[in-house]
Amino acid sequence: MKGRSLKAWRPGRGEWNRGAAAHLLRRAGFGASREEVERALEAGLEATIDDVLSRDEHDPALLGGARHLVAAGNIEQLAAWWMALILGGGAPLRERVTLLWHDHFATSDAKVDDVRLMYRQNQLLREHGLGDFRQLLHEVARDPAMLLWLDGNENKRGHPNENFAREVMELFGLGIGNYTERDVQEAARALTGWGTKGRAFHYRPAEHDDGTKTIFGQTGDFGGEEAIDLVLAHPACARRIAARLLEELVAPDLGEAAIEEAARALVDFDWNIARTIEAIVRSELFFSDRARRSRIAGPVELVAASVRALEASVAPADAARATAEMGQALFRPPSVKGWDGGRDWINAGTWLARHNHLARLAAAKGDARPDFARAFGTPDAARSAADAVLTVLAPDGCNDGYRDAVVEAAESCASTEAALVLAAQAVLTSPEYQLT
Amino acid sequence: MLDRMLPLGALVLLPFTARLLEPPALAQEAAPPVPAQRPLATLLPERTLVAIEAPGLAALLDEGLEHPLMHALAEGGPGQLFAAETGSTPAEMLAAADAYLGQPLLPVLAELSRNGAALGLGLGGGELSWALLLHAADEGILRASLEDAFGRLEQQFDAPGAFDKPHRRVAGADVWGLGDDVQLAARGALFVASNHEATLEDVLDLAAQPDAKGLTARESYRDAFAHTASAPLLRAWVDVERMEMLAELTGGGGNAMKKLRAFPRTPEAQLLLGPGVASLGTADVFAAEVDVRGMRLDLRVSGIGAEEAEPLAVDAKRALPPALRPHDDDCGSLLAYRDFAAAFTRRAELFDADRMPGFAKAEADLSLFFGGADFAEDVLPGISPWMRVIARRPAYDAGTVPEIPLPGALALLKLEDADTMGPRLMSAFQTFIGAINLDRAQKGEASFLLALEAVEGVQVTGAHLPKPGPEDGVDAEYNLAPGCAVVGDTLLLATHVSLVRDAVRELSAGATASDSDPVEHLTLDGAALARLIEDNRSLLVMQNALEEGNSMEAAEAEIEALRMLVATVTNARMAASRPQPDRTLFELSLDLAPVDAEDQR
Repeated sequence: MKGRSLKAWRPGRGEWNRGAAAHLLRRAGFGASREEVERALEAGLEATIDDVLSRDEHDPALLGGARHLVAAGNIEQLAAWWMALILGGGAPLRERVTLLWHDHFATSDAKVDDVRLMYRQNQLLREHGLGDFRQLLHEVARDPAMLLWLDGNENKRGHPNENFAREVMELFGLGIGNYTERDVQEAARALTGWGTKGRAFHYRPAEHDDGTKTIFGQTGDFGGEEAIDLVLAHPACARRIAARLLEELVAPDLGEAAIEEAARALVDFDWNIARTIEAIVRSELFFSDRARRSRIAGPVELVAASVRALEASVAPADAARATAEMGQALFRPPSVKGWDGGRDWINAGTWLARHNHLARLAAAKGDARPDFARAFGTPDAARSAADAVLTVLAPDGCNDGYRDAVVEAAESCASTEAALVLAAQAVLTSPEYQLT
Repeated sequence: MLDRMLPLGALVLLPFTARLLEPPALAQEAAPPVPAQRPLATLLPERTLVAIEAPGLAALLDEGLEHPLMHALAEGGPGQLFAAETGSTPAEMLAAADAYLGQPLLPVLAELSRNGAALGLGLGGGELSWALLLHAADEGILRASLEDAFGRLEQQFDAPGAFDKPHRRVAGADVWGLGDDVQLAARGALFVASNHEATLEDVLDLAAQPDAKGLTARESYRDAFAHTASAPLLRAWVDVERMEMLAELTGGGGNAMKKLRAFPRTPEAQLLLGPGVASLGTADVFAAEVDVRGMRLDLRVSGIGAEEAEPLAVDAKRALPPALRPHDDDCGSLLAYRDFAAAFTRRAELFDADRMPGFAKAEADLSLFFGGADFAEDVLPGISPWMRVIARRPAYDAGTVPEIPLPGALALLKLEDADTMGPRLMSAFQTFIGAINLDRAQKGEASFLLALEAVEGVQVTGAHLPKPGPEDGVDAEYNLAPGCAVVGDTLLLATHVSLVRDAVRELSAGATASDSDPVEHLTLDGAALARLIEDNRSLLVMQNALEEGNSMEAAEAEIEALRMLVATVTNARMAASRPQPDRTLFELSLDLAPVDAEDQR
């Protein structure tokens, strides 16, 4: 089943090191503290991967607490709640894929304007995000937030609205070049009658076009479910989803061979996302140099990883506001395409927001002050403070010039504690740290 | 922790570290004692800007945590909140202090302040200067305390004998220096500490002169407390006018203070805060008294020289709306005076020219709701400026209890021409609901359904959202089911039609409460507010965890402490009045619940 790209990694002596462990915990979660990395090193590769894949222990009071927030109708509070789940670290991989699917099936409260529905969609993505992708797509297609977002209620017999049908092909399932305009129009007809009533999915038979449709060369009196099944049966669908997983977990632009192999794995695993992710994170490709620090961290992963690394105590609402300032407002992706990501994460405004937030995080006072002793140990001099900071925040190592700059910053300080703060600021605000 | 506090807080701890039984050991010259009954204000320099005196402190300290109010504060909600913040209850902190001192702290404090305690603030050398005065029961107690404290300091800073002798003598008093920061002095049973040498010397000079008047030479000080009947727990006097002048002269935030002082004189402030509270902010001198009687705590703040702008000032002759009988579900009530009619009709003289377009637009827009009647000329003058607002937990229709239940509000307004104004306002209410529905329809939201009903022969207009579907949840907006009615010459307007119905029944029965005192006031019921917190506990805990970054357990503890804090206050009343032409009086009364009673709620 597995070809070269997803061949299981068998680390040689010294290869399961701090850099590899930190990479795994960054990509399959939201980063790790010094202690967590050391635990992973001690436990070994297999046990750590098993833990990453199986850890699913959110604080029930926190997880269930959102239902109290939704009645207030404040999307920023819901974003803070989600950030609390991410920062809490109870189920890192589950939250990682929930964020991935939130970007993939991008739905914005800016149009839906209903916090309860955004919460339900979020729970849907959380519940099915590691399960069968086919079920996930079917559930998303019937999700009231998605139906409002892509105008399901306007999709009626005789006046089909193509929004959802187009996106299910272009973005959610296949990608451009794998369907025709006619396929979109016919799928839209198949989906007529799907809408909402109150806050629930509602099928209106009178508005459904029950005529014959031809989608991807197949003809029948298809309904919405069949149209989605046809998308899932299209060979491009597994490739599209495999590419998305690889882009998120490994690196962008890995090439057709890796995508084909991951797509095969997805289908072989009966579309089970968790098992496909497991194959990816156990692979040589995942731990290769090609993968490490290969993409620009999104704001949510940047903020969460920094908070965890510094052992800082940040109010989730503040963290969510910070990610919004950096260009990633949870529940408010900019369009149905989600966040562009990559180099688009960085512009003059968002770079300033990143710089200011990370610098403030390291120098915070009072309750928000990072626990430097837990984060970096107790170095006794400026140089060892710089080394401790680099070990935690640059676990893959760094070049001499970079190291010298951090040491110089630390040595300019009057105390070891000040040296830790300045060295941490120097690393956190460096361009290199923005890569994950 | 006390060890760490000592270097910084040495001044505060010094007098408290007494060994009461040991004799005085420090050398001294005989100086005539300051009479026990001499007011400490006579020892504060005349240039003092803020004076805080505590004539009744020793009596309260004598009872310590046995005093019912102190007990309620320490063991009830405030103590719980304190514990949630610091990790120790007040009783635990006190026990730690007792253990550190080797004797109970509060009795020592009581003896040290037996004949009064005072703090004076002023300017010295361009900086804030302060002087703390304690007049002990007798000289022996003070000297023993000082000796004990000096001994601890000598030990802590490894400076044996540093305080064996006074560092100097001033006006018959022994003076010691704690570095350059603080000077301490003892003269008989009087203890003085200050961060400013000249201030300390002035206080000691005044103490040496039996007839010196000190701050009491100031007429504004004498006036401030001329009507005080007995010695309160605390008394404060603040010379705002001179503070503003000095701030201007020294450049120490003079402009900011000027702006702050100018704000209450604006019509915006008077409409926002009410003429009483706004005029308090214009006072030249503040005089405040805090007193404790049983479970009641009273604060009275007099603003002397306070101005009141005539057009918006309270006119006691205007008609008051009737008061309703207190209800178990009442969270609070407000009687306020806001003369919007005067604000509109005399806007040209009250407001800047750039506000006029806003007024014109508001007038035009609002007139639409009144069938073209001129809002400023025909509507506002028909409504008395007195308004009564009652916050009450409402009754909800079955199945529509919001997941976040908020208190409803009922406003009672007196109409001065009910025959004309009643139908006009009822019609405006319906038009207003229609306008809201138009906006909601544009957003694809459900419309309010209007309903008319007769209650005790009075027509009540109400509006409510349609019942949500079983999967839809009951959003916070279901807290709004507005209602309106006119009973006689009283307009009733509420967030919940159920509140209007209840009020109609009560007013129709003619059994209203007798509250006809034309004084702006706000009352709050702690028990009802605590129930409100209880109703929304889960939401508040979540919000606390997300906004403060607390764990769920810590957030739960904070909200519980807040609930207990609120429940501690059975009744709070704030009132603002003008007892004299140049004086505004702000009164706050808090009735606290005994801890046991509070637990039973």
